[in-house]
Amino acid sequence: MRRAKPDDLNEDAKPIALLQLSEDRLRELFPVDFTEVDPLAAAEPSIGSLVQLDSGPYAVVMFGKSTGETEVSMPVSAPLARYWAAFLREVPLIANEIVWTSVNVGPRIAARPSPRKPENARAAAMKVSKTSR
Amino acid sequence: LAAARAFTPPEFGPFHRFQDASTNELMCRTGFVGGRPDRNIAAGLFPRVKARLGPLPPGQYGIEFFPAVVQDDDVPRTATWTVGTPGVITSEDDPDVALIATRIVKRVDECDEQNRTT
Repeated sequence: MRRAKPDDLNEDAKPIALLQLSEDRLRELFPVDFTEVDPLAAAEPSIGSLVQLDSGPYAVVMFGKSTGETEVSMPVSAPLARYWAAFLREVPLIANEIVWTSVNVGPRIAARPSPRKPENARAAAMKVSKTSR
Repeated sequence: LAAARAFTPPEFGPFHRFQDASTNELMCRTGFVGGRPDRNIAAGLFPRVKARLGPLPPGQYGIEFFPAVVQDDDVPRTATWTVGTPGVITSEDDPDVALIATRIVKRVDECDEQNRTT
């Protein structure tokens, strides 16, 4: 992924996903420069970047510094389901980081499941159903 | 007369914005909440006002308000009002600024940094 120039995308972008991230996690997932957003262009003090995925699609990423809510927007004319799938292939989000996705990107099945603690996994594996034998 | 008294313009909300004291002052003085396109990030073709749903959380600075304009139906937790929809007007001073008439019910200019909700 790379940071694109603002005028590389010359159409409006609409939110397609809302993520809940820490700033460290944001910078891990999006290793590009972020810029302070005009205070009137966001609901809270924010940083943002227009990123271009290695596979080509553009995404506007806006991170709210007070809440950690991160809005991902894509061009209105884009094939959103395909672009969102490409986004998830390149941005390794875990399921509980995705708060919301637009109905236009399809069902929420592509994100990685949340990591499970080994103890819980072992306990689940040892659990015996009453009907089993 | 009774009917006229009973009529109150519709309001929506509450909504809030986290913003500094000077922006609070501007919006409280004018009665309008404003928004600009994010042109330093992307194309941002349409000015829109942005806010968050719900009352202003304790320990945060900004405003809480009830607009007289229904929001675009977009994203949970956040609301937008885009120029071109009824009730969203363009600033006479700056065509890049969208404005909505609001009733601002709470204003917090400063707060203790340690008490901020994050």
